[in-house]
Amino acid sequence: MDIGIIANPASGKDIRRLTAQASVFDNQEKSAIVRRCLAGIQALAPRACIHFFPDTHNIVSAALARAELDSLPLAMELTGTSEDSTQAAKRMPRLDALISLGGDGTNRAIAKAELDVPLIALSTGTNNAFPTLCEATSAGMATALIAARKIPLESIAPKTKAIHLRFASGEEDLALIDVVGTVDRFMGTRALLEPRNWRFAILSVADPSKVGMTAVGGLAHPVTANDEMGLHLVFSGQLSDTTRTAEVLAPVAPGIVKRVQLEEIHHLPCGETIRLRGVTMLAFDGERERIINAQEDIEIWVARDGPRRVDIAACLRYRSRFNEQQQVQVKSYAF
Amino acid sequence: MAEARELTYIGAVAEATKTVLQEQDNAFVAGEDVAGAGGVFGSYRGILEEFGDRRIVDTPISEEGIIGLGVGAAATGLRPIVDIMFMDFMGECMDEIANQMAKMRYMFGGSAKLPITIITMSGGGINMAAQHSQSLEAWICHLPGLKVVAPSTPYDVKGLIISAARDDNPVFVVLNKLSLRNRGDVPEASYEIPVGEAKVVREGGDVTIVTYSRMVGEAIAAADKLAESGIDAEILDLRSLQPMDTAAIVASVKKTQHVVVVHEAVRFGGLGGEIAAQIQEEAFDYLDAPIARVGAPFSPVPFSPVLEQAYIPNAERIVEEVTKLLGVA
Amino acid sequence: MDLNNETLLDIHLRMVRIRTFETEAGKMAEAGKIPGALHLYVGQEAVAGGIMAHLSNDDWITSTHRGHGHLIAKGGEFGKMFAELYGRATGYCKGKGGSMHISNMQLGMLGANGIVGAGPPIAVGAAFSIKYRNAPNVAVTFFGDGASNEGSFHEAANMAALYKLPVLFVCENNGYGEYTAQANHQAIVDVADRAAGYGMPGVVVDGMDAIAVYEATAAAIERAKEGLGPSLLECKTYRFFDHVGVRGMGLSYRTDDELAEWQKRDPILIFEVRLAELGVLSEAQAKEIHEKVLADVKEGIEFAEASPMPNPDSLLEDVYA
Repeated sequence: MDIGIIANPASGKDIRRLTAQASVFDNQEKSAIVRRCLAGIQALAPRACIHFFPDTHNIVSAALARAELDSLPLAMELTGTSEDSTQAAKRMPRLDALISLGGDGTNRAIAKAELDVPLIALSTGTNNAFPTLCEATSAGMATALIAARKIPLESIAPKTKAIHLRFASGEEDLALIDVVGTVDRFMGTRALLEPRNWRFAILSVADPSKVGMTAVGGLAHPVTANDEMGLHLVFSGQLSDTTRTAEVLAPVAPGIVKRVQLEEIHHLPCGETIRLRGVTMLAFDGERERIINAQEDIEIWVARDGPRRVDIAACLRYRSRFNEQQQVQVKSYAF
Repeated sequence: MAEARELTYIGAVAEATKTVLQEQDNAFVAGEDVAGAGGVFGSYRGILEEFGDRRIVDTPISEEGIIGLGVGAAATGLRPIVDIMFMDFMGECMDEIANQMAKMRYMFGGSAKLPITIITMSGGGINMAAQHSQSLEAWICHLPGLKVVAPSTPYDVKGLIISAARDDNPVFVVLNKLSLRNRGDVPEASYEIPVGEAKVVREGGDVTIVTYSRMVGEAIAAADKLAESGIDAEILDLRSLQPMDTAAIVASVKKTQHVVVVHEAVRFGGLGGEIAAQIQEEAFDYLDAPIARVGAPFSPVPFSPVLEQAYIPNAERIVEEVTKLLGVA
Repeated sequence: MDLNNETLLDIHLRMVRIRTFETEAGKMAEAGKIPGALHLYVGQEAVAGGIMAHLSNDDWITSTHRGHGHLIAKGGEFGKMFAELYGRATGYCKGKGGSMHISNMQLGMLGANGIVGAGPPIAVGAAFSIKYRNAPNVAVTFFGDGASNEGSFHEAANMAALYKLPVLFVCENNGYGEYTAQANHQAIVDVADRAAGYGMPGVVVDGMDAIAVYEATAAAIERAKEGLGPSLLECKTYRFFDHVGVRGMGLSYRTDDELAEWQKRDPILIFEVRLAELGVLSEAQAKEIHEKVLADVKEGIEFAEASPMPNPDSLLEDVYA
């Protein structure tokens, strides 16, 4: 049984600790999360082999030091960028399950490798939409069940949606939750800092219970992970707000609630392509990442071909319902 | 000078500090337990109530941070009074003292000004053992850029603290624990005792006892005793250790031709050696006998009261030394 | 955040001034014209440039042994700086400080410092002073990954957070404490992780990207001015020259490959590429700036070389006020 772990050492330390009240995850905690996760795996799958990318901060190797599981580090050169996560995913052997530790950006980097492996996405922070914030021990147990192929993937680990982009050069890119077009000129600290620079957003999920762009969309018009569509928001930016169709009071960042004016909101059914232009920067899953030419047309579409994300709670519920070893008898009180 | 009344040595610290805070808007006090508790020795009693927590600040137990706070605040226009509870704790902040505070002005070619007053406590006698009883003034007197004063009386405490606070240089005010309850006349008004001026506290013609801090009291007791055997001792209270009033020392030596230097600090490497050297440089021809030194033996300060009493120099040892020196034993 | 073209060019100029000064200073040192040790800032320019663009002369900084870059970015004049490095009477410190203590109080620069980790407590004092006077300023303390192991850093961080002082702790993590790799001097990789222990936010910033540094600094200053207290910015950077001098003592403690990797992300180069793309600064204009700065640097060197040595009689001046 082969389980991969990709931990992003850079998550949980960006400027949002200054501009907002984003949660802090130090690397000791990340290592502790992996350790808990390994304990869960070890309990149910003691013979599993852990494949991991030897991150710059030794998060996984430090955790493995206390585990009794077999492990194999990937042989790869580190760059200290998100490219490491993508490369690690690409270099993984055939896996039965993959655990990611990070935020939306980490999972996006993994998604770029286009693996068809159930992904147990553990969040290192509260400001993420894709990964799950949950107890890692339980997640480890869920991972073992998934890897043992005891869980029906279609219901427990369905394919997520992804947002795809094609540029004039023919080059393609993707995001998992949101793509935001802005008129920023620099990537800088990467976080989306200036709402007045925002021009449009494409969302695969618009979840009002999360934070950031997905919440902005979700408070205007919720779109769930199950809906076969995305959302296209057009911001008023610095322009006059007289034509606006909506104004939402939304948590744009952890601890920060702001009014965001929307010019337009469109459904974007899966498979439909729209062409957008007029921005100088694209932010993927919350981070300024790609500088583009404002004259350049970008094709954007949403498709259900993102990673298979494991619903950890559903996985464990399924196991309790179909426990192979013993059926626990539950008695009812007579009221 | 306005009316004087009796104050304790430690009461004079509080009064001097209040005077400074009244006179200088940029002055503030920072140190461990100084505000809420009023200082573990009571040095700052009543200051929080009168001046509020902007002017007197409790710090964490972080001596390096405290001295750094003083250096940074002084360099940028304030006039800090920082308290290092026990002089022994200088080990925790010696870099900020020796490499920053003492040298910043010089290293910057004179462009920085560091008006800092550092109030600290020296001396044994209260059974606080080896790490809370030392007299380490030689450490700081060795550092160009620092000034050091060591008052022996409540009057000097007030005057020297006020002078230190008005000085544009870092000035250490080395107080003495066993002197805290000593009483003496202190004027209510503000007054200075110039840094660098010694004081003859007892005139005499046979021998000069050069000393400072609590040993002044022991020297006086010794002189009283010596008087009984017809020896007339002059006592010079240095008050300032850096700069040192060499002229006053020399003047007294010329008068008595005999010198005993007394300090509570360990004799080896103590200021006594420096004082003796200065005397032989400036007044060798006037000496009728070698310069004698009384200081603590070369050992850490012991804990047991019996051992500690054997350790700390006292009037008896001064008498012994003077008697030996004058060859009348 | 004011990121207009003027600001961009300002940051660029500060970086070019540092690079040119340091490169030429290195040459002069190798030519035996500068006595003592030089710790050069080449490679780390984005940190000083991105931060100092926010500061005025009323904001205070404390620096490190690698301090020329901080003073230049804060507005230091080449002539007086070179004169100090040369030990001349016309230097910023009248030849009494030299490279490791170069300072200028008028510019709010509380000195380079020969003692690793000595700056943070002093910056805390400066920030205390700012708060005491209710002034609208901040103090910034620069230190390295190595200094973050000194007790002084920890005492200062604790006090700054306790008193909610307007101070920015800027760790320039260049991967080495002198000649010892970070992995051999601390068990953590992100010095920013230490912030949480003191009750302040800590963030990791790309220290090769001047705009990333600029943005993070803006956020930290805003926090400080709102009375929220200190922040820790860890800027991941690299020194292109050795710990001391340009080629140093030839100690084998890092590889040429590693240096080459970092040089690909030369902070000035990547900034100029982007500025050219944006049409803010063409290649030709950039070249002109470099040439002009080099001419200024040479003028500074000439000033220093023509300056008088200190009079030995001045030896005892400035010990006391």
